[in-house]
Amino acid sequence: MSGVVFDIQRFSVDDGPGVRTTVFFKGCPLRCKWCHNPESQSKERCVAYYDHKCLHCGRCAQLCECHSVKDGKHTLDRSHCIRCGKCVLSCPNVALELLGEEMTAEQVLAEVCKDEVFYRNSGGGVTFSGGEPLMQSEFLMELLQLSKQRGLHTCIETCGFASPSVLRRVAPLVDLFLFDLKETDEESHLRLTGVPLEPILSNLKLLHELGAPVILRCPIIPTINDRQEHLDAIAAIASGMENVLSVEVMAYHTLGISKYRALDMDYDLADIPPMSEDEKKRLTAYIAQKAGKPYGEDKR
Amino acid sequence: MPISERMKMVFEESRKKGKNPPETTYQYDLHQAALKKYHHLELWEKIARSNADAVVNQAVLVEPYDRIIGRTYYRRERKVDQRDPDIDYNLRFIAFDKDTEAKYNELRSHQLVNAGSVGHIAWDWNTILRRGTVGIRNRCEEMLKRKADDEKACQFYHGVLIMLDALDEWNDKHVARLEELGMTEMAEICRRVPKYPARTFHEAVQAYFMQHIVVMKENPFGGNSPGRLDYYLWPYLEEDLAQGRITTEEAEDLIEELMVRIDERIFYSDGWGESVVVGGSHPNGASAVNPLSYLMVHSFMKYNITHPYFYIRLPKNPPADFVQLAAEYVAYGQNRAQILNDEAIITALTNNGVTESDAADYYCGGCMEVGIQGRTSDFLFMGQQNAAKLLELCMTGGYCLINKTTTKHHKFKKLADFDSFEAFYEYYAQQMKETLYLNFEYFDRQSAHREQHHPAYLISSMIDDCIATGRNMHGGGARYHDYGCSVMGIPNAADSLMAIKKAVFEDRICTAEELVEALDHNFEGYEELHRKLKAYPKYGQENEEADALARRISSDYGDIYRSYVNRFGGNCKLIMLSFTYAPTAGKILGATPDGRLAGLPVAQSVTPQSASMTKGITAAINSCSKLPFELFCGGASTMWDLDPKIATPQVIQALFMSLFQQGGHIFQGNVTDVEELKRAQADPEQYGHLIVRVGGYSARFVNLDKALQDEVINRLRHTG
Repeated sequence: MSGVVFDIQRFSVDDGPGVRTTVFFKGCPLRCKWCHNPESQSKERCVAYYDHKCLHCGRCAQLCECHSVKDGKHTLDRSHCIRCGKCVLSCPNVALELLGEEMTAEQVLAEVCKDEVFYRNSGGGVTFSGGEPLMQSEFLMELLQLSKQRGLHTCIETCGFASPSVLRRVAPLVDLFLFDLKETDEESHLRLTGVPLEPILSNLKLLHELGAPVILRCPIIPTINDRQEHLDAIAAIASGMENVLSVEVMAYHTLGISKYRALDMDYDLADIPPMSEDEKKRLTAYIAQKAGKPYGEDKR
Repeated sequence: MPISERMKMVFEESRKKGKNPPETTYQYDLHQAALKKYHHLELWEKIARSNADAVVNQAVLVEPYDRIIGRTYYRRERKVDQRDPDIDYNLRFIAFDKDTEAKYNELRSHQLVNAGSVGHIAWDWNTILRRGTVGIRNRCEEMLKRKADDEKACQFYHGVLIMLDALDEWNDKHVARLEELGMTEMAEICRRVPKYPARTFHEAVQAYFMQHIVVMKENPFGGNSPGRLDYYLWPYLEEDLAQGRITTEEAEDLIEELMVRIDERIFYSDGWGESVVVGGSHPNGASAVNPLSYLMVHSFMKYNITHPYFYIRLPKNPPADFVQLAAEYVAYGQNRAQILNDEAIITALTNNGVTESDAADYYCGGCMEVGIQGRTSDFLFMGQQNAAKLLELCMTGGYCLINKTTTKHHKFKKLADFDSFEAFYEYYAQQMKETLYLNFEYFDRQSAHREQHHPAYLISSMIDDCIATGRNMHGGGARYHDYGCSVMGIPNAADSLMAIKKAVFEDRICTAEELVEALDHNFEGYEELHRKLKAYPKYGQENEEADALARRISSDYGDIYRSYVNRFGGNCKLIMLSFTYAPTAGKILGATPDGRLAGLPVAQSVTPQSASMTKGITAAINSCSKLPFELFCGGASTMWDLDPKIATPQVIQALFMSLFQQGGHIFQGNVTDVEELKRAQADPEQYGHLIVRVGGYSARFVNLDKALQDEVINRLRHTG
């Protein structure tokens, strides 16, 4: 069967152990305010427009009424766009890009297997990320099964918001869960991500019961969720679960903002500066120490 | 282990000495002796005696703290006002007929042929350690009797004897000086070696250094290298440790003193490469990694010096901790590391006629020119061809896109003359052969010249089978009489051919004339064509067609090199290296059909172009691995620039092991921060310590010229 992915990134070194290929699934049930992959949110394909590459040649407008180029300014009427992608082909300078591609599991795996030798030499493998991979559960199941047949190490990067039955099905095929814990206060979680916290915590407990290895990943956004109580709550959750191997702080960065522009989406947190490396290290060490989990020094 | 107090002092002193060394007189004395004292002698003897005089007349420089004796300095020669052309190897030698010479010079201006440089050799100095000069002398005397009828051989043996006497005599002067200074232990050691076989590790190190500095005077050429230092020194250390004659700490100090002294001699002359290869294989193919292999790399990593380079040979089934050391060396070794894959390199060597046991003794001649220690002549890196420039001239009918002139002495066809890609490619390959053969013939001529005018007695006495045959290394004495020559810009040629194939012959988005016109205008006014050309698949993206083209060009080069028969029945070895040539080869190259603009650097060796590696480093390594490494019998380097954020030993290990398991030869890694390099460019005084890997060698960044600095800065940094 097939699914929609928006990127397959080879030589990933931050999404699980060793050298990995990360497959990004399109579609996510959450709408985190700090999301740095806005293109991953909708399940549909979408057209991105990069201002700095546009030659304003008007070829897209000649081809499709959704585009117009006037006085050196390009606009795209997204309400009428049917995401056919023809405009992308007409663009001479790759200023337009169609994000999201329908691929079969075999196609994805063929791409993943190109780097098998690198996985072998580093203890790496494949990571299914997103978006939310559990949202395309059948596609994911097939990919996991194929990966396991090839003997690949598998990781899933998940927000944890999914049906417990899906989680139960995939768990035996996943070597490591990279499980996001974004907020520990119920009200804040709902406000910042658009979904309640409870199902996520309950899924985390389920993985604990199943004995599935987990690395907790916690995006910390200065002034938004860098409260002491939140850090302590993460540590408390982690310390109670021996299947949680470690806690990673995902430092807030602003590299995704330009993508909002390319998709004509609004970004609410525009004024928050990115977190420094030192601050990230400090927070990681703090949580690790408090949770009694190992803390690997910075890689270099 | 941290640097010992004594070595801190030795290192500090060596910095002072290296900065302001005394003038040396070797070249001056050599020419004076040849012109005034020995001018009446036959050439073979004039050369031997003049060199001998120059050796003996050298200053005796000893410091009371020395535990390694002997000092000479590089590039501090007294000005030679009168030169004897008979012995002057700096003179350009041309013996072609006038027409050929005109053609040669024309092709040379386009980097299709050139004179290259001798050197890049590791000799079998282990002979002196095992037998002493006495042992070599005895062998020569015995051979003199056996080959009494062979006049050439007798001359050679006498030449060797004269040079050995000189080495001993200069060494004796050191003994006298040591006694004067009351340095009885060192006097004792120098009385013993290099005259007689070394009995201890200290004696072996001393014998090594004394012969090294004298050989480097007789053969003052770049890339001449120690070679397998750990392999040949280890048996002495092993025995000493077993007998309790030395501690590991003492041995470590001695090795550090040796490397610091080699660096002192050369001192900051970056680009001059003396390299050591540690680890490697035994003749039977088993791992030869020994405790000294680890010690040497650890010791070198403690010092901010650029000589001698320490390179790591990974044998088949390498010890896991040695692989780990190699990865740490790349990650933290100040960009001086180079990791070599024995299995693939030995295969390439045996493929070219080297026996398997001899191939186990390969070394890097300075950068990474692969030769067999003590069994090849110093014609290992004799020149290079710019493959991308040749393609340009084949497209334009010999019209140079940079200086806007057309070749006169060598006529080229042009792309428009061909109605299929195949026909054009065949023409290109035929031009490779024609131009290269001219170059190889030139090497033959130089070789014949050198046989007479630079018999290199001392170094030849440590090259098999010179003594057995009675011929110097240029006269047929070397067991493997192959020349070596490199090719630059293969990735550029491959990407350009791919674009030509697609744009002109398949998609027909432009005609041959339009393409050349666009290149001649550096794509100005041809922006749309430029964008389309850039979008075609490139070597390095795991695109089968593009990779196959890179493979095809490389294979054709391999076949051409191998098909040449030189004056001793050997061939020419294909070397893939860059050294400093990525910017210089790019500077003379116009815009290329792959979309590269005029004057920009070409790719590093066979590493895909920075602009082509759009699918990341793993795809680039996979593409690169498809090249015919089994044909690269002179070695093939690859360069990978890594972002410090991701360059952990674990990641680096995965990269080079993956390259090696797919047949690659040599991994060079650079872990540099672009912002830091830019700061160093702006404020060189604060960044004298910063060392970068240029291409086959490492250098202090601030000592590089601006073009090379920019090339290093602009290379693609691979990131996660």
